[in-house]
Amino acid sequence: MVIAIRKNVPAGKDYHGPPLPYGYIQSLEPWDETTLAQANDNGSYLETDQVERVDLSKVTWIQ
Amino acid sequence: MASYEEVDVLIIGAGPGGAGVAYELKDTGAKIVCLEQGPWVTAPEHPHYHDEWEIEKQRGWAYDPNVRQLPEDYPVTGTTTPYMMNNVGGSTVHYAGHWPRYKPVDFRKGTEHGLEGTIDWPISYEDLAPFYDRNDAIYGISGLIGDPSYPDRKNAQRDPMVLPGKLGLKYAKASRDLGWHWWPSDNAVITRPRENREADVGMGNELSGSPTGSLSTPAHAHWPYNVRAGVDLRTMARVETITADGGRATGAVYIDRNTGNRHEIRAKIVVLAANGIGSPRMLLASAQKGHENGLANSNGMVGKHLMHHVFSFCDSWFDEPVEGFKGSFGSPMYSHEFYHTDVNRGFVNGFGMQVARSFGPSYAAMGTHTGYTAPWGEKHRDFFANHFANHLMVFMFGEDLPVETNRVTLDPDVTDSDGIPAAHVNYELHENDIALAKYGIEKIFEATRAVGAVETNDTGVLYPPPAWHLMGTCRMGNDPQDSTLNKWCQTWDLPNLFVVDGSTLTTGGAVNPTSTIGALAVRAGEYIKRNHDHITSQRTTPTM
Ligand SMILES: Cc1cc2nc3c(=O)[nH]c(=O)nc-3n(C[C@H](O)[C@H](O)[C@H](O)COP(=O)(O)OP(=O)(O)OC[C@H]3O[C@@H](n4cnc5c(N)ncnc54)[C@H](O)[C@@H]3O)c2cc1C
Repeated sequence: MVIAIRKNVPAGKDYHGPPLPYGYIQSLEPWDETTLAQANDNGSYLETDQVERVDLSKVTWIQ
Repeated sequence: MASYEEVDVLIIGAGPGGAGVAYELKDTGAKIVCLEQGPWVTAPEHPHYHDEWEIEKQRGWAYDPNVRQLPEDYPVTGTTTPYMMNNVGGSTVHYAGHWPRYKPVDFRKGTEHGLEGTIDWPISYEDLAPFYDRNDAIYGISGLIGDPSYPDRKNAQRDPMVLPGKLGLKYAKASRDLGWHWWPSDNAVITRPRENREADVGMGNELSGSPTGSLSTPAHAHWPYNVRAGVDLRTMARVETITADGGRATGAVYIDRNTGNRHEIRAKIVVLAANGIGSPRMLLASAQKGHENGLANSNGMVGKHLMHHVFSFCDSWFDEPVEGFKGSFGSPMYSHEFYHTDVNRGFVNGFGMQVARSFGPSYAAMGTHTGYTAPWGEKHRDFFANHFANHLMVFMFGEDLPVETNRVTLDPDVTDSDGIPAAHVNYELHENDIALAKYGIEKIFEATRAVGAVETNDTGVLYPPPAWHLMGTCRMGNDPQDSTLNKWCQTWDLPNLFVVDGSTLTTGGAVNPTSTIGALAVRAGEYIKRNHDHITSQRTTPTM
């Protein structure tokens, strides 16, 4: 079955059956610097002291 | 029972809670015993080298003890699919190893909305931050520091990130194109070798443990060191009752599962770490004179406010290779774009989008995570060729409300193989959880379609949820009326009885819990270390 997958399934050409001993470290794409640099563009957090009560009147299931 | 032995600290359960406390105390010279009902699973018992590795997920390596039915398992009845493992390392021997932290807001959900049973934690993110760092160093964590959706964690040690592969890069591109937050995941997977542990080779089956030690679990990161330092770890030792005398825990009675004999241990301090189902089960099963409702349960809170997180599995297929069979579980990346409460959406709390790997060909043929099964017969080959390894799964991973009636009790009719009552779970999804999950599913497919998904399928809001996160059933709090533990994990009723595991968590956040359980274990362990004599003479549990 593993041979058949490797031969016939385009996305499965590297599949080698049981996970070990080989793993797939040799054929995995790494992060590239350009992509990683953009990871910083979005995201924020609230400090503990900034947490306030939200407006619960907008929560639909409460009404 | 003619005799008993005496120790300083008795720990029940060898998962992250118990292992973490033992690690912190191991060099103190204290006499420490840990009782664990299961075995220490050895490397050759793992399925990773076998052709039938995927089939094992349905039998001996099933996540669900009711399916697996190994001798060390106990039944869990009710509305639940309980996922846990009973052995040295606890359920981490089945975990994916995704390793996020809570965010500061998670410690103040009582302030933020206080809905249903939600209360504030008695500690803050800042209180726990140094313990997160210490705990990470013990386990061995890979990842990248700098996520702007968290406070700075410049003292956290990190191995280099696991490789994303095509799959991780694809969802990162989707999030980036939509202007959403995303970040490479922290994982309890080492990418550099450590003592007696090999570095990850992108094997992709962490959900059945790791025979090489690349997955960071207490079986590799704690117990070899604990035992070397003199901690007495007794496997196949199932606790039947925690004993008490008046306002103090006195120890436990356990059954040696090899011989069937009962033994008593008396201890100055008892640390219960049997997980979010196992710990309330033990406390309730330990009802005795003076503690008729169970130990530590004078306020009736033990077992209540069970949380699992709300989940939907979202499958997307592409007309090009994604190669989900490659690379390590936990997760290559996540997005916390919708983590925070925005009441304009009509609900409180939020969710994470956690990218998962796939397994192998049996998984693809048998319906992946959403039951999208390949047809049998003539059409099978085409379907398989178009779907295998073109598949990307994202978890819609939401915070569920700690509802009081979601709870663990004792089953009046069912027992384990030693006659101890089974745990019974009642868990209903709250309207808020359902609204949140539906919104999350839409958002995930918005992302995968933006990068070319040609087919999608989802589970809807999973009920019962996959219960791999067992939280809240002996929660920490500020007030002895609405919680079971104080901020040091001491029970309000018995100051020398601690509960340190998933049940300790006051709220669930929208992240996997184990890094937080581990950090709490280091913190509780340090407290016991510094205050051992004081704790043994305390008559009441401190509120501050
Ligand atoms: C399939 C799966 C995937 C997961 N993926 C992740 C993930 O990616 N990230 C994450 O953070 N978490 C994940 N988890 C959850 C994680 O495994 C748990 O959060 C963690 O193991 C809980 O630690 P604990 O100490 O509370 O309990 P456990 O790890 O469950 O340990 C409790 C121990 O107590 C023992 N015990 C119970 N009762 C008794 C008794 N009466 N006598 C003696 N011993 C007893 C048990 O045998 C067990 O070994 C996953 C779990 C599963 C099942």
